[in-house]
Amino acid sequence: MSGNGRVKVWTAPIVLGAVTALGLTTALVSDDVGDVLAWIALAAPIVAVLWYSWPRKRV
Amino acid sequence: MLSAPAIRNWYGVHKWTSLICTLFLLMLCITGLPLIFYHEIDHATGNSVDPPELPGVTSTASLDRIVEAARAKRPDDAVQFVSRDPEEPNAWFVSMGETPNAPLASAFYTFDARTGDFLHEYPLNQGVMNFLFRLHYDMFAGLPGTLFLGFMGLLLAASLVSGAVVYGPFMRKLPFGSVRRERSARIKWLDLHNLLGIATLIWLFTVGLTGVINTLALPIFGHWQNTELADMTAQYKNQPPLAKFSSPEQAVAAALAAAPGTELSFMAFPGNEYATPHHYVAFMHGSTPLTSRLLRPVLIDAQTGTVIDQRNLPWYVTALLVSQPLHFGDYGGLLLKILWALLDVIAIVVLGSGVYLLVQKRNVSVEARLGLLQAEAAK
Repeated sequence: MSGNGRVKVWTAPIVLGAVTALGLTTALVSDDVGDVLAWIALAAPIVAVLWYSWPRKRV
Repeated sequence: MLSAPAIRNWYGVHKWTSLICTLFLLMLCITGLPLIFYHEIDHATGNSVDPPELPGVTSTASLDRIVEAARAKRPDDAVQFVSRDPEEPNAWFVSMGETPNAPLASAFYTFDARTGDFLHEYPLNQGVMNFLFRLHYDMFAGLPGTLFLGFMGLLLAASLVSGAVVYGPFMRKLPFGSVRRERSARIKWLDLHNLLGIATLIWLFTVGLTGVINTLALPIFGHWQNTELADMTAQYKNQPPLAKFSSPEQAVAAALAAAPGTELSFMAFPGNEYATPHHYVAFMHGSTPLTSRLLRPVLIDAQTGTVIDQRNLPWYVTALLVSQPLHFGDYGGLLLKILWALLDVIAIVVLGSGVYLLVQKRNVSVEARLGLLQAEAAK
């Protein structure tokens, strides 16, 4: 795998992981804003899973 | 880049750690799903009650009277703890045990903190939720069961790391999120397993590892009791046991005065293992979102009612306290709990598809072997 290929494979997982980690933390340290940020951030991996796993017509 | 043998080794780690822990993790994920909503379900089924609305009532009930009322209900038992819940500021909770340090509570009472009225007795050790909790907590096997589940959590962590390592080579020629439906069911489920697993990896890792830390709660508190608590109360070690304790209400007041800006989380009564035979220990929490999770023990002499010492908890107890919300998902309102439940459902699919892939693979190799045998027979 070229360096470029590795970047491509890992971009989405690293972004999702970082967003998840952020969401897990914000609700822990702040109540109002932190909770809302956590809801948005932790919805990200769920939305990604639904988006890509949903059966759809190939274009 | 990983060499082919290295990939094979990492895949072996993923396969074998998963093989051992998957059935237990499926049990944990399935029982854990309703447990996320334990609090809400208890209220919906009437197992817990809210203190009534009492407009205009601003009185504060005497804790001494509440403790007396609890003792009168079970004269042969001992009060182990009194506790509060920041979300139920009008309630006092009293935990009783057959002895001051019995490991299991014999009763859990709710009193009105304004009037001192008895409100409710929680139905302990019964019901579907309690059954699911015990399966999740120790599989009815006590500390060995809890530690065993903790070990399964460590295997999960190894499975997640090795799974992530082999994700790279597997996905080398595929864009993120590819699900190849047009080929075999096995390929489709492999792609789904990879997608769901990698998308929720950090959540799975966090809930898994904080779960492992939670399985160490008893040893962690035991170590604190044997070291720090014993050290703080060493001078009382050889004194005779107390015949009569000072007022619990005064003990709480003294603790609040000694630790300004804190609130009581719970207070252990003398003789309980969270206290000593000669002391109350009041566990105080702060008021910010983070410090409300942390506890500061304040020791109160149960003869004189005065505060004798207070210290922050050591790092390993703090690690346990911070890992609890990260495992339960109970720190960001109902919406966070719902997201926790959805992520748990995804985890169940990851585990289920992992089992399917292992079983399918074996079928394939059996068929391949049969094909080989037929080819040999035809010679």
